[in-house]
Amino acid sequence: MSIKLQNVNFIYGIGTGKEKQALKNINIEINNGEFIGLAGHTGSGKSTLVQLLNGLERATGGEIFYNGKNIYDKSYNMRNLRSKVGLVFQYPEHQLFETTVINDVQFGPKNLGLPQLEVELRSFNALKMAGIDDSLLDVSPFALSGGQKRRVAIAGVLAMQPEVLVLDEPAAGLDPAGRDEILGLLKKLHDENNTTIILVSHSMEDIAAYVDRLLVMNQGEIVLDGSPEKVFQFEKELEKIGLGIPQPAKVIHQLKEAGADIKGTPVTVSESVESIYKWLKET
Amino acid sequence: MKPFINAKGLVHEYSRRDEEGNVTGINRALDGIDIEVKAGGFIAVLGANGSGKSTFAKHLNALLVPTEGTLYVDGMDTSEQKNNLPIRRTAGMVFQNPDNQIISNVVEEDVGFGPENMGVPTEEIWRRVEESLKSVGMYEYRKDSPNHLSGGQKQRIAIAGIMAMKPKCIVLDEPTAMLDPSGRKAVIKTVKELNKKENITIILITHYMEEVTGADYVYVMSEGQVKMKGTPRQVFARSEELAKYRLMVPEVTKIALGLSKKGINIPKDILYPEELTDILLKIKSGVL
Repeated sequence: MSIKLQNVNFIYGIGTGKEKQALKNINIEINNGEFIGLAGHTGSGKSTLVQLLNGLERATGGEIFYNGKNIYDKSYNMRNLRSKVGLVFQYPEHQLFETTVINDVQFGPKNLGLPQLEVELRSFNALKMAGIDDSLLDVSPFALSGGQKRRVAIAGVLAMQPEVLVLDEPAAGLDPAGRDEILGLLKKLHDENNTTIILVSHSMEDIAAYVDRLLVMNQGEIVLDGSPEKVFQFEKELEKIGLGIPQPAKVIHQLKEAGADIKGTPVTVSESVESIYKWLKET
Repeated sequence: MKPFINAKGLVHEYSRRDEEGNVTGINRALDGIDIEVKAGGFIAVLGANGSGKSTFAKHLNALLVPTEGTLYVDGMDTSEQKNNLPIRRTAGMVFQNPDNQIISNVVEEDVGFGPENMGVPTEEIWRRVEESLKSVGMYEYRKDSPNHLSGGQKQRIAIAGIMAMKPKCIVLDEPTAMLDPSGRKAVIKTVKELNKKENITIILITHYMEEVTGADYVYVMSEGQVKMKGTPRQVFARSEELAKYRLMVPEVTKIALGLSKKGINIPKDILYPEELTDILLKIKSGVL
């Protein structure tokens, strides 16, 4: 299972005289079961890119292959693609609309035309996965806390049982504990269900702690693609395009610049504590 | 000297209502808050979602009034209706979403909207617009449409709009929650400069711990109460307690704590990457 983008271009406003190229020659392959971080400052093209992945927008040039099939073929079932690639927008809780939590989650699978029993089973499982307690199923989604609302909204997408889950800033506006709950949920989905996750985020700290592969965008292009350890080596380049590196990576860089012989390229807090401890104890 | 902002036993209760409007219950969003801020101070209020920090912000310019207790802003009691306008001129508010705060299609007109409504003479308005746009570093965009600006730039325009009304105090309620890292940096830098150069009292409400390192004093709220207070260093040194209130110290502070737990003799109140690097190099070379 994979998503392959070949020479993908996207231009907004063709024919209006105010054309803007949002994506330039994107060539990437996203493999089954990857946990990918997609970073880039506002306007770098990341939202456009994720909207192409489930066919919400159509590339103005190039091809996209989902599991080897060209999604722009006339015979391709776009509806099927949208149920396989789940997209969670920013502030998804603004899209809650039903009278109860369980009804809201059931809306998606119901529209897939599944039998009622299957709809209910999927919805219960999705809510359980999202850590929503059974006692909340018949409560109005608007009576929940911000973090709970967001998890219900994500459960609505999970109930579609997507193979690929794309989330645009899923932790924005949540407090640190709420952020960890959401990101922990994604990790669980990735580890237990082998769901491919694409996490769009500004926060390099979050990315460092969770993803296997990091794509960095700038002005419509992918400028860096690799493990967080590798990508964070390019601190100056990242700063130039309005991004930073996580604090632990920054400290390690500074120590190395000052001549410290620290082994490896730690990027998270626990990795850094280990590396620094070893270095301090060396004589 | 009297404190500029003085909250004593401040309580705010929201009533929950059913569809017919009958009261079904009471939520105590603020539960006996005591906070004092001196003129020209920079304080931060930290708290998780639902801790009551935004409710407190709304009290500071009399959008809400106390259920119990008192709140004085620049000597004015917020519970007296005649003080509403003077209080709102004293304490300007900046909210989370820049798109909800911008109303004109030209930057300079947006910034001039506030003083125009206060009846400031035209020439004085233009002078203030120029001055406040310069102080947030957005003067070169004065003729642009706010639609074409980034989130961070829009938020700085919103701050300039407040500045143009010459408030003594600015309350910012999660001003960076919707911004990218460079936008966040620019807004926080602007806020710090307003405090230092213009001597404007700043109340910054946030749950990003990295943003409060520059504050003089930090209050931590949870369940409508002030649970911790102190300088950023004093508060950040108590990371386990912060975690109880759904907050987390900056990652550099976590590294220092991790090393300390392993028996390295290192201060637990480190706030900046440069500071940690410096201390680590000193420990390694044996001078600390």
